[in-house]
Amino acid sequence: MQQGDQEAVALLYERYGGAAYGLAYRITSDGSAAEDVVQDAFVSLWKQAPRFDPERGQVRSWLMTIVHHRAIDAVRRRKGRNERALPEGPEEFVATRGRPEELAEWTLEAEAVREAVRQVPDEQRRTIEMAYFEGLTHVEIAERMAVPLGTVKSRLRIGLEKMRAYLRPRVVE
Amino acid sequence: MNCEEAEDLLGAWALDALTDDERGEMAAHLRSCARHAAAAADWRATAARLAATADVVAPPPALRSRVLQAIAATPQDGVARPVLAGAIPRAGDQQRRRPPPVAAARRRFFELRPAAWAAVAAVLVAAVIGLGAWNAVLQRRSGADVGRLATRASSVSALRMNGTQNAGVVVYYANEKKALIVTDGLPALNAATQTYQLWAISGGRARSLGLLPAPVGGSSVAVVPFDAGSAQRIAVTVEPPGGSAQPTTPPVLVADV
Ligand SMILES: [Zn+2]
Repeated sequence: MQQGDQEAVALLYERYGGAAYGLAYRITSDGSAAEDVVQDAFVSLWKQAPRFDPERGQVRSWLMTIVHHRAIDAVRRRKGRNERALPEGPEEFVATRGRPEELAEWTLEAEAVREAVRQVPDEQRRTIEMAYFEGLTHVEIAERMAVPLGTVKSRLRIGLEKMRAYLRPRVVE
Repeated sequence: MNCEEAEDLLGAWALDALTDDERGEMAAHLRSCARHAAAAADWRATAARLAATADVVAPPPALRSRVLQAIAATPQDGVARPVLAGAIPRAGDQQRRRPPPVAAARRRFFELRPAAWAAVAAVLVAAVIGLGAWNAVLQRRSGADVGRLATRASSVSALRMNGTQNAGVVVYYANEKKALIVTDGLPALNAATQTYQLWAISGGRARSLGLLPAPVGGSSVAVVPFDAGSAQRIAVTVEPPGGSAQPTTPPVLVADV
């Protein structure tokens, strides 16, 4: 076990703990569940750290994806529903150290994403948020909103496409 | 599932909103269709960005020590397995992945290299550098991550502290009328009694740009609305918690944008 690594995780916690806790809390609406999610996510980050290519990707993307999955799982367990298998998820991201310029990039990106979401019409945005923050399937969303399934599919698709088009020139991959 | 149906479900797939049956069929289609596999990865990356729209909330202070204790009690995965950027992993796929280059495998993931960042920053902030010069510097550096920040920038300026040039940078985006402030070597304050506050200075008048987040390891980052047409200088002062209406102390950091 490397002392330096533990210090690095502490540093990442200083930088991203608030964002991780904010996302977990938004999804679970429960402080103690959100704490468990954040703890699990940082432990996963720690366990899997040796697998990452240090030169590529963003550690925060990866961390936030884990937080999202764990938080959605917690909500589903609470509702007595089966957890769904994780999508390909975290391994699509690879991690780097939490460097100042990465933090800076994320700050800029968060700004751009908030702007992008503001460009999406209300109904499409609400539909996307029900999927992302509540973990509902499109069938469940259709029931909840009392609209046909086809409407939900196209709202998810068109809304996300608007976000994507808005972000493409603004967020450098 | 055919291509038309897959196309139709891209949004729901990216947001993990498919039913279990649909998800299985979609996954099967993505394994056999390169076009939709690429599209699905792209859409999912967009969906993942929604994380940034949740408010940042300070966790309870006790969580930090809980996390660090849990980490101290948890062994790391022993074997370094490569993770390829953009790859969509599949069950049973692990053994077919390329092993990592030896040099990369030797490097510790968490090895922090503030010196590399400081070196780039030092070159950049030696003077107010135009975009062309910034790019030239970046092309000579392997730390191209920094370059991604600069690709849309209109100007880069030095942050000065007590006459030294190496206190960070201000990157100005004219199109968006925004400034990105990155500090380097900024001392921590006692949050109970003091905070850093940002100001736009124009003709001797100061307008608050808000509080600067507490620095971690000397580094703090903020994005603020800023128009170089109406103010030419950004300053940082030490103020009481919550900030002041006007600066009450001399600036500790200054940049001419
Ligand atoms: Zn296809």
